[in-house]
Amino acid sequence: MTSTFDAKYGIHVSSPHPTTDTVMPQRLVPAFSDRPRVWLWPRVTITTPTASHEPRSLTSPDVTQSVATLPEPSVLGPRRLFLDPQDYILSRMSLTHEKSAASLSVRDIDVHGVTTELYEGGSGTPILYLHAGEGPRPSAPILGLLASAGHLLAPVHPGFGVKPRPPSFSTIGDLAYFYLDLLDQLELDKVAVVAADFGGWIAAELAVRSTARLSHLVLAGPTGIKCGDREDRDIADMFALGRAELIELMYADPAVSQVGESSLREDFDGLSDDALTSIARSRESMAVFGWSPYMHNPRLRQWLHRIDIPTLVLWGARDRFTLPEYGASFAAAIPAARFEVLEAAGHYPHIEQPERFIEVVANFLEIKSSSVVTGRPS
Amino acid sequence: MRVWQFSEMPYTPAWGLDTESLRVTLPNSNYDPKLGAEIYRRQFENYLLADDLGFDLMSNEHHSTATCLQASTSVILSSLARSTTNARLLSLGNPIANRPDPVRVAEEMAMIDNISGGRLEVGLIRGTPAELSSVNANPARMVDRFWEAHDLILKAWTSHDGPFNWEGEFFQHRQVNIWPTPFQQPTPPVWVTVGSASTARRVADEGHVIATLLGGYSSRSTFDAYRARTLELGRPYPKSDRFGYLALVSVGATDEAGLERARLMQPHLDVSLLMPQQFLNPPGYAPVEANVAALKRGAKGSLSTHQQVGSGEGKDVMLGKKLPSLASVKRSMDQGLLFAGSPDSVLQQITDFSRAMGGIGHLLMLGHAGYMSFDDVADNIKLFGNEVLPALRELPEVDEAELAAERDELRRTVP
Repeated sequence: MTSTFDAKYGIHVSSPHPTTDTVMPQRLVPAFSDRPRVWLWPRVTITTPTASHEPRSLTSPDVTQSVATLPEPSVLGPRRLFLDPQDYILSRMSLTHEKSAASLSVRDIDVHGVTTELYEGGSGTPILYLHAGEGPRPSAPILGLLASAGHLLAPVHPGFGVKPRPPSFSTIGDLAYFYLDLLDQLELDKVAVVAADFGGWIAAELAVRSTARLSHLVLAGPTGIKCGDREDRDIADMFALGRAELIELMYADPAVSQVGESSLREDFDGLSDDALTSIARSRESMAVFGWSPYMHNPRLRQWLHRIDIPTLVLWGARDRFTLPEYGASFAAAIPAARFEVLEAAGHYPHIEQPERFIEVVANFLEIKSSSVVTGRPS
Repeated sequence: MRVWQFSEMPYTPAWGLDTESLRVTLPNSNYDPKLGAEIYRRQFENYLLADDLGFDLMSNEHHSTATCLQASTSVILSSLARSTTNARLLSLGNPIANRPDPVRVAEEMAMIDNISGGRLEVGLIRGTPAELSSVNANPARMVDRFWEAHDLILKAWTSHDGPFNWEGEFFQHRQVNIWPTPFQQPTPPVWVTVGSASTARRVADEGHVIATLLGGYSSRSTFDAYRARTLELGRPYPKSDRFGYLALVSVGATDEAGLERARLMQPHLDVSLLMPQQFLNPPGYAPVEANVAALKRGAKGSLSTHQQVGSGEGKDVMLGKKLPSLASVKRSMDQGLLFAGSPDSVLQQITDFSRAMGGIGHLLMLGHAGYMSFDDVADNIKLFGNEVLPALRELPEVDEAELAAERDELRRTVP
């Protein structure tokens, strides 16, 4: 495998993708090379030239199913994907974000003196959704979809909403412990954590501390670990890039960056002051938690082996903000992890391909199609 | 009034490059060390000339930029401490929120104070937005970091009974016991640059000198916040020596010559802001409320709510392909960013400005800026030093009777 340095974005670009007989490139080798590694590329199952090809301790046979075997949305039966299908226009360009969030409730929750907002909806399997670093995007369809799959709890990270950041919160560990406290306070068990981008970093930090209340972990484009050499940049420098460059790196379809509470919009017409405050505060808090070391904890990867629950690492095939290779390394460091790539998605597969995303996630969580509105015939 | 001669030591040979930024990202292959060494030599010559003419001298610090070759205020001032004899030496300043080592700052400044025989004045500054990426300092929580560093430096200078302990939020030391101690006891004069009333109040608590840089006439409200807070604390009305102001200064034999020279200087104002939005507005540098307002203006909306500075005459001026018009020079004069003309005119402009500010005791004089040649600079310094400076040094405090009225007015605003 060769890699070249893309001076424009200051990131490392690798090509071609690993094949079945490719030894893992040096910069992607996990820190503990004697640990059995799992690296599931789409439609590819081998990771190393050694005998340990099979994923270790996966609890469900279903989770080995590749996305490639799922039916395309176009051949699915009557759509019951959304809580309010009448109002949901399936053309992605015309997503009416506000509608899908309409059936969620929002309230303030106080956890050991720290108050934040909690969006909630649906019933069944508890799903803790940890949003991306750009902000909570409460009108994104993924929230309604998750609420159709289970009991969705979507808190706003402290420091990412309308309320000031707690003065004593300045490290990623503060957020991880906050969510462990929240799960304790709500006495939730067998919780599936679904987390994206910076939220994925929080989720990983949370899970290496304790999985006692968790059943599954879904990480979509997580940041948080260091894979490359000291002069490689695994995660594009969001603080040094302009809006247009970020859109190009983060989105398969640039149009999606212009809807809802996206932080990369050209204009923010129609958004409330609260939504704008949330975007502005999130940007500031990303610096608080992720300025240096940039968007990662140098010690996190060596502890990912502690995550002892089935884990799905999802990546957008067209994510150039964090390359799929980075995601494969992330998954490789977690024993019971599977790595999948979603086509036609960038760094936010849950935003760009919400239907495919929820299908894959529901499948992984073994939520039966009769009880979950996945759009498939029951 | 004291006058402090200053140049950012611009590397103008790179200014003509067609780039969106002279800061952070401009490759240093555009820097020629031979040319740079010559620039340093001429800059120090002009500093020494100003010393001979009775100026005080100021240094600053910027990083990764063709706008300023002063990458370390300590290096510049330590050289001046040995080569000058009379001038007081101002660092404005040490970007202490960007430096990991406040104790080292305390040591360096104490050394320069000793080497110069007590001529040092120490500015402690927050630093401009573009600095943060160059030095990898976190723009979020800068103000908290600034004040912790400030407290640590002041304590390092004034503690003399053996090591003290410091386990703060941002800085940790177990054995702080600096050698040498400052020459001036208990500390050299301390300055802080200020851009808002709330910071001015905080600096008033400390009694330090405050300075605004190219703040124009709106600086008055900043200075008044300092005065009001001082009165609030039950202290005497602050003298003008607590207030400094930085502006471009262009003197010619005639008004016409002074204005013509100002056309060479004015591009400083354009070029200083030539950088992409992400470096102009790093996350956390400005408050959330200011960023919300900027978002409402859309992606192209600027964070800045300040008056427009610079010529506003487009890229050709920024790139040095043509000089700004006289009209834009006069606009900068109207804003109080630039004093230009004959010696008499400049003296009058500065006196009037000081009066409008309620009395300022320090003029920080950008006597070199933009596309001036070093001979231009020397001529500018000589004209000012010989024909303006003597009168400014004798400038009395603002008239006592007028002052009394203003003092009463301020007192009415004090709870």
